[in-house]
Amino acid sequence: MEEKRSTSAGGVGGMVLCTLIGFVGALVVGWVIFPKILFSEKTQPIRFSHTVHAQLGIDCEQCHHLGPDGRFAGLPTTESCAECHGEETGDTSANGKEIDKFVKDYVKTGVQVPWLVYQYQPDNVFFSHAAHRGFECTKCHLDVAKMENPPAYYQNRLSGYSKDTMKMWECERCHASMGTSNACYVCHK
Amino acid sequence: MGLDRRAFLGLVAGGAVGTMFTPIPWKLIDDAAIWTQNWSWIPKVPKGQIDYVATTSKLCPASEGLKIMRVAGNPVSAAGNPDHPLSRGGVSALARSEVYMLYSPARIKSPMKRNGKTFAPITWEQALIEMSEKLGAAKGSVASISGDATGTVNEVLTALVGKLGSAGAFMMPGEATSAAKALKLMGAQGQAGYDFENADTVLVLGADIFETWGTSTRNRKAFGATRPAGAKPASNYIYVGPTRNNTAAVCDQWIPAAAAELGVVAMGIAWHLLKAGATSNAPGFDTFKAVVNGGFGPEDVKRATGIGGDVLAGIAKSLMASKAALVVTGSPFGQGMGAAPVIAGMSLNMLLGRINKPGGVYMLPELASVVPGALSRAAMLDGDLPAFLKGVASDKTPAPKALLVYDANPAYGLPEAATMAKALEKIPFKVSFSSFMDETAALCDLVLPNSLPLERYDDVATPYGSGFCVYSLVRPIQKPIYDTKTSADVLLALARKLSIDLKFDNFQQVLKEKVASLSKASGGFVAKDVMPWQVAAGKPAPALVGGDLWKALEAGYAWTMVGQVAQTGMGFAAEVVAKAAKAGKPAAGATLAPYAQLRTGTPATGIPCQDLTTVPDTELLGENTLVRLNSETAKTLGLKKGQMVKLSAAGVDCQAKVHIFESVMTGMVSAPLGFGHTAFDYFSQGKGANYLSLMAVAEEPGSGMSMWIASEVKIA
Amino acid sequence: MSGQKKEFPITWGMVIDIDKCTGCGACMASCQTENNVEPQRDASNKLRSTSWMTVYELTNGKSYPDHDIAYLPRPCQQCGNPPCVSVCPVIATEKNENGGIVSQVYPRCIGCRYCVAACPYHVRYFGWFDPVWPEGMEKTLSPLTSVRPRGVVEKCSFCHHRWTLAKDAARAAGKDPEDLADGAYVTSCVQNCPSGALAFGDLKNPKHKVHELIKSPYAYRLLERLGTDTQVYYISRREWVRKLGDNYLKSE
Repeated sequence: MEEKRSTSAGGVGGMVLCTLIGFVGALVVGWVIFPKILFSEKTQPIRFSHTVHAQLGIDCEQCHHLGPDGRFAGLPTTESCAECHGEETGDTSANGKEIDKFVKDYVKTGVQVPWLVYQYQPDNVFFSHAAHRGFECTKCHLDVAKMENPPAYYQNRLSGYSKDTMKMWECERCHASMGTSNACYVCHK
Repeated sequence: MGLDRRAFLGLVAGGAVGTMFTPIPWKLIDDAAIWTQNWSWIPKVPKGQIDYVATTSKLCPASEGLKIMRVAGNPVSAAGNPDHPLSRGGVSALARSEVYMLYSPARIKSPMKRNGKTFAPITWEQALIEMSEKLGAAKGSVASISGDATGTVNEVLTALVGKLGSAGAFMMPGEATSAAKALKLMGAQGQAGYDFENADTVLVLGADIFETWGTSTRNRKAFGATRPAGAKPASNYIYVGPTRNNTAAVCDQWIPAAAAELGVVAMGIAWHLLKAGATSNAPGFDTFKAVVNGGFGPEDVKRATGIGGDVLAGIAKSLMASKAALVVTGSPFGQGMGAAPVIAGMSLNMLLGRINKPGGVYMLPELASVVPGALSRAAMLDGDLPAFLKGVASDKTPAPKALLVYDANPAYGLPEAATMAKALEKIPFKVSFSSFMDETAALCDLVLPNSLPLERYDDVATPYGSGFCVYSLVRPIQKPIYDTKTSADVLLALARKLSIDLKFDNFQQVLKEKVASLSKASGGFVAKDVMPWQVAAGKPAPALVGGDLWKALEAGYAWTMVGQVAQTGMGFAAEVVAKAAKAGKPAAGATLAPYAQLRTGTPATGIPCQDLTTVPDTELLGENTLVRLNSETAKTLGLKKGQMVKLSAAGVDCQAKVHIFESVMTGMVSAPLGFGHTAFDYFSQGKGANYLSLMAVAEEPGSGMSMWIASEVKIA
Repeated sequence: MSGQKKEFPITWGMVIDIDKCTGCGACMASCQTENNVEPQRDASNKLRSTSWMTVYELTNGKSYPDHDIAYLPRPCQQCGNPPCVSVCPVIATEKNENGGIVSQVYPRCIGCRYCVAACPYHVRYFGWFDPVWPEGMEKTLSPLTSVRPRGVVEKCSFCHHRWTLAKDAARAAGKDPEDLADGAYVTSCVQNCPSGALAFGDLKNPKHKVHELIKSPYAYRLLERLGTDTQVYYISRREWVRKLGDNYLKSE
């Protein structure tokens, strides 16, 4: 007993230390390692630069607009991108190569770009952009206009949704604070 | 440094407590809950921009204009087009199915060639070579059957067959066949068109006008418009027929009468009209009068049909008292009527002075044809397909060496199925241009899949029943999903290969020419703000605004024209009716009274998969179809509710379950059509029996045309 | 229960003129595809198949030739006092939103089927099987309605998504989304009915046609004696049809 006590990490103090190590370790695992395991990182199929387009003076609404019937058009189609990027440029700069990749893979083949959408909601959610027009886009969306490269897309391995997909409690909290109804069918379909 | 037990417990406890302050447990629980909501085998809904494009339904015989909802360019659902005069926003259960039929498991995915009992896929090039060789060898004896009653594709088909040496270019028989024959015998010109929109009293003899007869969606819209909800109706509809069918269910009066005796009923009403002083200058009026007075007095009619003289007098009275009376005659199941009842019904319209009048019957001109050498619609309708095939089956008519079947399913959709199948067997080379693997395609040597209406250019010209000339366009909304082609294009390519000049290289050119010819027709206009029935009622017709008619048609508007063929010598043809309209002998067993519904599709479409849910369990239960008879008939025949029985006639047996339903005439057994498919997919196959196969084809006295309006069946 | 009844400024309602319904099934077919109900192979088993809108056949019970029939299309009646809501243990169904449409949220439903038992109109359907579409046909799914897995209860929502669309259209046009014009929002069945037997609108809005229609002496509701206070009205000039709408004693 005597000997053991002398070789151990220090009695009660040792236990407290280990508890602390366990506590901190868990925090590190939970806050740093766990998210890395839970989310897989994906990159956009085309390295689209919002900054370049924003610097050209293109408004957000020119590509992401509300239709005359109030439906949000979402992402522009390949066809609308092709209005400017219809032909390969032959430009060997990084951006030029990316444009040519887009033209070759999508414009010429006529397929839509499988953009990874940071905010897509589950199928059972009906989100109306028209109803939320009074808010800044960046209230909910990443401020991509200021980003040179599209940010990484983190997909939750369990649920399959994007890390940036707004959770129901966030919707509800804002609705409650605005005095808007939180009845199920206000958002669900 | 060792780790003692206490330290270890401390580590675990610290870890556990620490974990509580991380997202791990909460996030895992939440994500696991979401994970259970997203099984991989539950499809996700598509994302993308929603838009709407217009076209016209080609699968549905009511030819409604459609608005197709698309998501990211993919068609998702079909609704009625409010701007189209044949839809006005309404759609039938069949037209609604246009979109998902694109993915019907019954679709033929590539050209196929028979290889013994099975089919092997071939290329289009091989198919063309094969076909040109066989047809070249069959020159002089090539027949065709078209199931498309309204398309310009018929011009391409008949012109080609004509130049190959026609053994007959037929249309699948329907209401239009009987009507065309009737008008021909009456010496009339044009296609009968019924102005329901302006009619106030409508006497319906047999025709299921709200389900299968003619432009049924438009008919219902017209009916509904005169029936404000909860208020007094502004129209009076009287239905005469063997059952209280979908049409009779909403009519103001149902008068039970056997389908075979509708001509007698019409003549009986004529007797009352004549008695009340109705007269006509039309040729044959004196003969008509003599025929009516000679054999169709109240007593005669009561003996033949069981309908009292007071009932018929009442009908005659309301017809005469109304401002715009209209008499419509047709078969309760859409085919097999014969000409005489239509003549008798049309005679009532003549007695009432309703020919070419608002709310009456318009004799509509046929739109000009554009393919040289093509048969007119009237000429095609004059052909008698059941008689031809019966002749082939019994070797009275030489079998054609080759047969082209377009959008038709004669092996299923004709009466006396056994005889027809025998005839088809005798034709050595058969090609099917069907979109679906139907019963006929399964018999053919080559199967060359037609793209579906949503994948091709096509058109609809004045469907039978329409009260005005109407033309609308069918346009491709999506690329063909499988290796299919527009059959008209294939026929034109075939013609080139056989060095036959049909003037056009592709079908779109044909349609452009057709549209160009319409813009030259006087009186035509695009129905937008003014509808054709308003023009018929006196509103001035808008001018055809210059500009591009093709564009307006592509946008889903219809070209229409209110006009009629001036009649020279339209007469009563009472001698035909005198021969044909005779009281039948009372049946020993029961008389089969079939009924058809659009929700079970057409012979060419099979049962649209989504529509199966709309079929009640009093019609189809498991693998059995139910036949309806009233309790008195059931008692006489010794049948009980739910009992399985066998119906036999024309050498064919059909299984059925008994359903006691009182809105069927005594002595009648009412049976649903559209079931009992042996081809198509699991939505059509193995569901009940095809009662049309029990109907025997007879030659109608007087007209000589094939008829199968009633059939005596043995029930055991 | 009536004490808890909520009043809403907007009350969406349907008026069905039975005398105009031919029983063709276009409303059912429209509903199926609008709301992503899968095509059912053996749809003749009515206990196992799903059909948010169902057309019933009514008869006056007499023998030929006095027999008469009528067709009754039956969507969810959207009760003012919904018996299904009070029995739901997980608040998967509620009547809480302006418009008075009884909601049904599938991911929240635990499939206990209390609501199925409670509904006197049989409008609620339990998914016995996972929905299966023939290959490729999932491309025709509507993005406006979610797809339900097996094990949850579903029902007619008055095509609620169409209301949302209509409100968005009003917002885009600078109009008041809470004061839609008559016809700006109609359900799929109402839109496609070829006979015009179905009408839809705000029962409380005098500018909407249905506001007048429900005052017709021929208008009635199903099982009114239960006090469910439904938002679906029927119209028939035939007395026997109206009488079938509720349970009457022989002496009544």
